[in-house]
Amino acid sequence: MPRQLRRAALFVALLLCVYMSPSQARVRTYYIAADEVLWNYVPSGTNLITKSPLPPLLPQQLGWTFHKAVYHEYTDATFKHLKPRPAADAYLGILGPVIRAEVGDTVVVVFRNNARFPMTVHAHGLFYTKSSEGAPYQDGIPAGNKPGDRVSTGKTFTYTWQVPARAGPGPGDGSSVVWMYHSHFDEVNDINSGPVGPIVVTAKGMAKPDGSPKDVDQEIFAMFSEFDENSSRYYPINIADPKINARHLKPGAPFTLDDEFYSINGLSFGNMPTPVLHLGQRVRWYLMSTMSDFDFHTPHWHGQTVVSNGMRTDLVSLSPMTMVVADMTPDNPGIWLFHCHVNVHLDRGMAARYQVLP
Amino acid sequence: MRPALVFALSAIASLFLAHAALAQERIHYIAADEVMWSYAPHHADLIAGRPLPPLAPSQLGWVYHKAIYREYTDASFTKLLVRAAQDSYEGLVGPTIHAEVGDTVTVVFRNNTRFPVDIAPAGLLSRPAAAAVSPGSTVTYRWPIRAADGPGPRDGSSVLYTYESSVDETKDQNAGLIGPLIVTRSGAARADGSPRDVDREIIALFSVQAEARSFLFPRNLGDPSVNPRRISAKGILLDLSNAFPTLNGFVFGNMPIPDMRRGQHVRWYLLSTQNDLDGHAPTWDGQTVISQGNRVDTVGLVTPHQVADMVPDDPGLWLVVCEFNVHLLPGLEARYRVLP
Repeated sequence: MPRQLRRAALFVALLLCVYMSPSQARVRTYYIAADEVLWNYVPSGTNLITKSPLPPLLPQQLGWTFHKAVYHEYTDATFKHLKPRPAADAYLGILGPVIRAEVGDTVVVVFRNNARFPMTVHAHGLFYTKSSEGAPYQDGIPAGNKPGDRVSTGKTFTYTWQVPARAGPGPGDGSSVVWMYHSHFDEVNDINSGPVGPIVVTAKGMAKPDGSPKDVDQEIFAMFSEFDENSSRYYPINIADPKINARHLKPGAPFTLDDEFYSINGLSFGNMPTPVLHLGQRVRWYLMSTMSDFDFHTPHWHGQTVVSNGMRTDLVSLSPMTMVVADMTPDNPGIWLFHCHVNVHLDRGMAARYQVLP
Repeated sequence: MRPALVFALSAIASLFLAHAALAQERIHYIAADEVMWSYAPHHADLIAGRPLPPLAPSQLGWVYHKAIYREYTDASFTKLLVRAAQDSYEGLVGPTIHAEVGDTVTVVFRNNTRFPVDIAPAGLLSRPAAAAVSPGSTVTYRWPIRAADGPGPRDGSSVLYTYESSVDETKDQNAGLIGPLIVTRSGAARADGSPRDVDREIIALFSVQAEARSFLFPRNLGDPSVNPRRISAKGILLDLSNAFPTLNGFVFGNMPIPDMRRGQHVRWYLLSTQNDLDGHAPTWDGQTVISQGNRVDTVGLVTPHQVADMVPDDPGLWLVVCEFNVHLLPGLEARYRVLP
């Protein structure tokens, strides 16, 4: 090969290398606060699936609205301006902001605790050192060396999580996987109080600049959750507040099930805003569940099928705190039911709708 | 015949012979023994660093007569095969039986309890008909391990089964009679039957041990050292108060801490009993696993056995718990350690 040609070939090869090399590792920073809110499981006040009134209050049920804490995203470290959630994402409901990363990235969460109880942010799946675990227990590290394990009211802590390959898709996964993050100061009671959100990790080289997977047109998040208000940190506050407890009920027996809310993204009886999908698009559903007494769920779609773990199905199963991906290419326009197939859950409102536009 | 052909044929023949020689008979001397079992030998909640919760209304205590499978050195059943220190976390789980596809597992079984029990593999093709072994008797079982018992197309190099007493599955499992049987793909096993591509195997039995449904419960009720409060109530309260959500028979972090090293290929074998309240969601802090090809940190353990592969990369002392609050809150939590 003549020298010039060789040089030109080398140059082209170099160019190709630069062009095809995986996108640069990024640091993705999120400003997330735990904020106290009044949360209504059925904001419309009706059963929107059947267009009928809600079932009557159960004997020990305080109502449909409760003091809760949720994760909100802010624009910066001043925590003055909420980052607005687009209307198309209103269906996310009680879920915190979607945290995104590509394998190789670093996620930084600047966390402000605006709640009256100590709270933390604990990530599933990502790599953290003990100082960013956000979960206090006897792990051989003196409590004073783990400030992330307890963020007191009004305080701010910065969590740093790495995103190695083991946080991304496995051999049987698609281009992205889902994890959850939640408060883990007092795990069970914290989650029932509300602070929980999703993390999406995309395989290296498969992410758009915002971290979402290149080969997916739309992502939908659905958390199937039995919120047990009796196990919420806010239970005493809810009992004592006449706006919440209008019937002035006394604290119930410890095993009462009347304040358990079977919800998708914290919304019941079809009150989740209806996500809109488009015919022929590649839609990825991220399914999650929480960890209460009956958090075994079987999400089922009417109208379309999905592929989950390489298998065609229209129903997947969730165990407590499991996270599952299902891919759908809608081919059937209409407004369709999306619900848990466990009958006691369905009866108590664990149903929503999604729409496929032609 | 030409020498080259002779050589080729003999080489092929020797390959077959060598392969046949690999098929082994794996003999285990296993007894069902009655023991005093403490769910919390440290008498403390080692996860939260505080005392154990107070006894539930009809809870006898934390120590019960139980029956467990233990391995002996030979058919005289006089010397226990001592479990290695690094495996002490296995607790009340029976000895691990390893086999490669093609092997035959021979279990010489002695029933040292005062109740009729047996030992039977759950799930293997060759599962024999249940036949109670009377107290004090010895029976020899042979379980051929066939190809269809081994890993399927999407499994790793080994799969998990359980063996258990099948005379009265509910009463026997709640007494503690259960153990793991690991089947390795043909050609993928070490001499001891364990998979070559795995550096450390961890056995984790997620089980609600419902003492009120153990065949030893009458004995526990009647023994003042187990039941110092002389509880005699019957019914649902007794049932719930004496049900222990355990990992390898331990609660509240009392399980000895298994060690593993960064970068090792660790295979977690997740077993479960099949009680009403079983249905577990094992989860790990600090690392992720591959389960059924998917990257996860929580596994739905609704079936009695699952395998999850971990390559630890985050040193420290980490939680391994059941994420089901009904199990986690009453103590189904333990720790594992990743060494740098």
